[in-house]
Amino acid sequence: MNEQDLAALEQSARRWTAALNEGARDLPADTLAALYEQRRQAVSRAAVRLHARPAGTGLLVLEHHPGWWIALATLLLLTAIWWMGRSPLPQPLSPQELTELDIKLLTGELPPQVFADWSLVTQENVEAVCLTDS
Amino acid sequence: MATNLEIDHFLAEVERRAYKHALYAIHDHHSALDVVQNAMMKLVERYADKPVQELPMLFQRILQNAIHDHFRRAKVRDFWVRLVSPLRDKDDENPETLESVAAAAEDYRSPGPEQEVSQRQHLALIENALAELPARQREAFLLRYWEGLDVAETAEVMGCSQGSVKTHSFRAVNALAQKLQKLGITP
Repeated sequence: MNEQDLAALEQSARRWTAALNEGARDLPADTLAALYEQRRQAVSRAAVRLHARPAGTGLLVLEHHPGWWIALATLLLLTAIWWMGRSPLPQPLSPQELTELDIKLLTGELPPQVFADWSLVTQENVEAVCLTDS
Repeated sequence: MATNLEIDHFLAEVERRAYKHALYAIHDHHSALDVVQNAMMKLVERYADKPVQELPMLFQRILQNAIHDHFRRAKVRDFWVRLVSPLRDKDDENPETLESVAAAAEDYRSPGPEQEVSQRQHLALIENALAELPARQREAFLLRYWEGLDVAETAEVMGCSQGSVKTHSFRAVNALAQKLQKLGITP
């Protein structure tokens, strides 16, 4: 195929694409409506993203590598939950529990190791007492 | 960074061609709309912060990937459907190729003056021939001649070498010329 034939083919290609352009302009109304709606949704999404992004912060990195940050945050959260599970925070005693505790203190029913629990001491608002005479 | 207005104008400019592009490949109106919607959403979700000059190339790349994804999903779906229903009616298995684009195009339009009908028939024949091309040749033709990308840009969108783009483009134009000549349309 010589240069002239190639040039002729190129010219034909241009004519065909001109016809395709006409076809693209002449779409049915329901198709145009669907395309318009899709464009509107996409532009709304773009507007939300553009406004939600403050300039010069780490959020830009988060958006480009969300998977990495989410994985790290999840790992830290799970580690924190595991750590808290190992050493639970002391729970405050209810009034009924305090009453029962007082009764047991007066009747001597508490085991000795209870008196080693500093949270119990602070709960009863009792200072540590030296049990031996100095 | 592209502004909201720039994104809107860009999408308004490409949406029709993108739909036709998808329709030639997929041969289904609703699937073509889905592909275009996916492409638009991916563009704004991942590349809304890019300059507006980069959006055409990015969108074409996304559109091509969306079309390929559609075929991959269809292949997987067909595999499982065939696996589950071996006694299915054979008539259901063979989708029409493209009596569709031309026929579907005709269905939407009401008859007009003789010249308009002739132009529409001319267009339908070109679209039919285009839809019958192998996928890579059609992609190369549409990107090079319809979208106006140069060889390097087309190679980047298609994920192949520039030599391959030239080969696919040439074969596409040649094949179209032969098909249309047989139908009485002189190239």
